[in-house]
Amino acid sequence: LNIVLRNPRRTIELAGARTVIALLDELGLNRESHLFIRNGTLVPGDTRLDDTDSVEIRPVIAGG
Amino acid sequence: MSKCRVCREPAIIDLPRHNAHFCAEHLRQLCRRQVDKAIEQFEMLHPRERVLVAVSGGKDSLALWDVLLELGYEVDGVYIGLGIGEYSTDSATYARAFAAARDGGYDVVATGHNLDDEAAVLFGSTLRWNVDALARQLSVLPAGRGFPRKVKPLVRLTERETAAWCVVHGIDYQVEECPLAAGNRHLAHKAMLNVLAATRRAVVDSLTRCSRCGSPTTGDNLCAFCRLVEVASAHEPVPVEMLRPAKARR
Repeated sequence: LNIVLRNPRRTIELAGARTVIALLDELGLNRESHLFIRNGTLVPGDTRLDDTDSVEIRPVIAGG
Repeated sequence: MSKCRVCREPAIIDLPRHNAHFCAEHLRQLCRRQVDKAIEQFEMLHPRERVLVAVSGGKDSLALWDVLLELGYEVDGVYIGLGIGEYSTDSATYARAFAAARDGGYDVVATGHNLDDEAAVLFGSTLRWNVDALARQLSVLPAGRGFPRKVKPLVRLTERETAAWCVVHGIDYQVEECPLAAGNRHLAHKAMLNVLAATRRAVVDSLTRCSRCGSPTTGDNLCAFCRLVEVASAHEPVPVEMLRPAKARR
């Protein structure tokens, strides 16, 4: 599972299938503050991710 | 797989505040409707007015520009470079990529302040009890002293929704945060409010039914009221006498 994180942009790899929400919990990220883009398409939090997936966890909080 | 609340097709996003999932088409419909409602509710824009959107290259201003065009308004964008090195250069590139150059003569300036922005400002002003700031926080600032009217048509949309609008519409925007935003109080307030929302949702998700009265409860078995009744009924009733105070003497 290839995971793209932002601010700053970086990539991490994790093995094993899991849901997006489980992944967020593992990474300690808030669901309200992120969008999930799997293989270029938005997906909801209950989506199951496979080992072959590439997912971007995009923060949406911005501004100053 | 979760389904869209409206059409039951596969959903692309869950929106906890609506307690629902949506497909791309119905997410777009929801966003358009919320912006339309804000414009109507606060009388932000009138037909045939020329609107100038203040564009930063971020998701909110580009989404605002896009949704106003979809709603049929005559809209142009203006980008002001703040000179924050490579960050401003990149932001300008995103803004230009979306822009069509036109001349002035605008009736109203629209900014991409969203529901989270407004909530964070309100939260901060309340914490500091800044009455002046609280009084100034409006969705429409009337024209005056040479300035055009200023409106915030995204006040009914969260930034998660405006970001989703951009992704669904293929709008490329500046995702990376401004380097000068680190330690910013406004961002800290937003993060706090999101933690509060997540905590509240966790409480709601953990609710069970009281085994006695069936009301929602966070307890394992009985709700707070039934626990109180149980404790009270285990004791002898205490006689209660109503005493009338003596009439006050003049």
